[in-house]
Amino acid sequence: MAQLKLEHNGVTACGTELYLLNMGPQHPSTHGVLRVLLELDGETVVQATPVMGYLHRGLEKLAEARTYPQFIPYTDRLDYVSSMCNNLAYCQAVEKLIGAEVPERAEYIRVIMAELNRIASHMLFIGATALDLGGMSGMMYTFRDREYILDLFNLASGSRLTYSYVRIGGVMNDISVEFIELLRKFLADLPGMLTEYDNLINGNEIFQARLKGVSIVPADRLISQGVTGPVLRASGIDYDLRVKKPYGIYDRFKFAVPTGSVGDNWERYLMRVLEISESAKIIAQALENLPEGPVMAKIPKVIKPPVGEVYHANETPRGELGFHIVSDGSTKPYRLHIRRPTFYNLGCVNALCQGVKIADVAAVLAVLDPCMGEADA
Amino acid sequence: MNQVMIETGVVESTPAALLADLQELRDNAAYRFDRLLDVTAVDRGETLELVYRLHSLQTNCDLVVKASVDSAKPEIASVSGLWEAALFGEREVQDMFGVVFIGHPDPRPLLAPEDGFGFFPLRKNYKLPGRSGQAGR
Repeated sequence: MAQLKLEHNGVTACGTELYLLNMGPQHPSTHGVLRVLLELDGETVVQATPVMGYLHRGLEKLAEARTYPQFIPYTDRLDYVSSMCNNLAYCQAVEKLIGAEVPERAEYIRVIMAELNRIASHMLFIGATALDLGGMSGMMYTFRDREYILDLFNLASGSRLTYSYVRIGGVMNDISVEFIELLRKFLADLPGMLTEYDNLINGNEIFQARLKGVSIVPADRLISQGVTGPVLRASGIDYDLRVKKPYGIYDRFKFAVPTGSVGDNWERYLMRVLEISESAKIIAQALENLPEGPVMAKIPKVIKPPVGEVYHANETPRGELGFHIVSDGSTKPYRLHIRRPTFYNLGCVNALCQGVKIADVAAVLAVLDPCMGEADA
Repeated sequence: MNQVMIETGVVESTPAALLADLQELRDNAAYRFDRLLDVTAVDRGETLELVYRLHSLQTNCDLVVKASVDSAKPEIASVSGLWEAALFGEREVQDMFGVVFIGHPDPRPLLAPEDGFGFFPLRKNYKLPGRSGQAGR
């Protein structure tokens, strides 16, 4: 007699009754307060529904009651592992609105900081992924090295995580000679760190086996879902805003944009590893050409932009972060909307999880690299 | 390499024509807007202005499509059938502005609690309580 097999959402597994499993919001591998409702057929995921909003603080509403400079510290709290990139995106949006010119030295310092933050964010990502897949020691090494960058940021801005360093019209402080010396030392040490990750994590056979060939999604599906950043590039789409729509002075630097071909978990992971050395190349070029001069433009104390709308997007470690500002000519934004990369990237959780085993859900979420502070705004 | 750089154009549409317009922009070979990057809204008092931010990976062009709905009865067709990105974007606008997206397959609150906030926070008639509200307009 033919065995009757149930099919759920096009996923055929053992064909048992569906089992609903609630993952999160307090789950170590959800990187914050993401909750995922998993419908399981045996051990295979049939449907994964992300539930969010646990960290919703109403930043867009708060912005309407803040002046333009007052909102900078709030951008630190969006994606709290790449605050420099958020600061930069917001300040450039406001500068576009008021038509401000930024001094050359400040532009170079901004690039150095944004790329350092990208490295720090990806280091955290590598460690967290290793941790999610059971490699407890891997995380220690990447966090140790990330601390080096945080010390540099501390030296420049006075804080480890919430910098508010990039300001409208420039940056807060000039960087010191000591900073540059330490940065050069870091760049010299970085290849050694990456070799260590290669030997310890990336080259690990079990680690690769857990990621390779898992959760392959066609690129057009990800495009339709509005996915940006390394997750999209892993599926072979060569789209990086730093190259395709250069903002600031990014058109002056030579660097490669790593892209994948298969679009599995392994390539999504690998994109970040490869981006670290590309970011290091940008920093080295910026240090080489760092001009002397002021780091802050002459910006009026009270910023009153003209009536109008502006949208400015940056490539953050997670994808396209865009600020859409509507000005009514007063000192406060009439409406400020943030296009958060993690928010849209989480839209593909279901597509990525369908058909994978429950043990791989942690891996899928890890390589998606969500940051809930950003998704929930 | 596609390096077509144009300033973002803005196209005005109407709630009735929106779905057809966006379908045209996605499918017509002259436009090929294959990505919906963002859906948001702006409270303009009498009307709510919906903002659809399109991007084409093939031509590297941006386009913003706007459509205004009545604040008292905000209803518009869902575009989630054209781009899956709208599934999340429209739910956020629904939570924040109370816009009803007709035809959305899963119109539960996304950022709001399961039974909603009870108000629409990003509308101008909602004032923030406490000190934040006093600082507001």
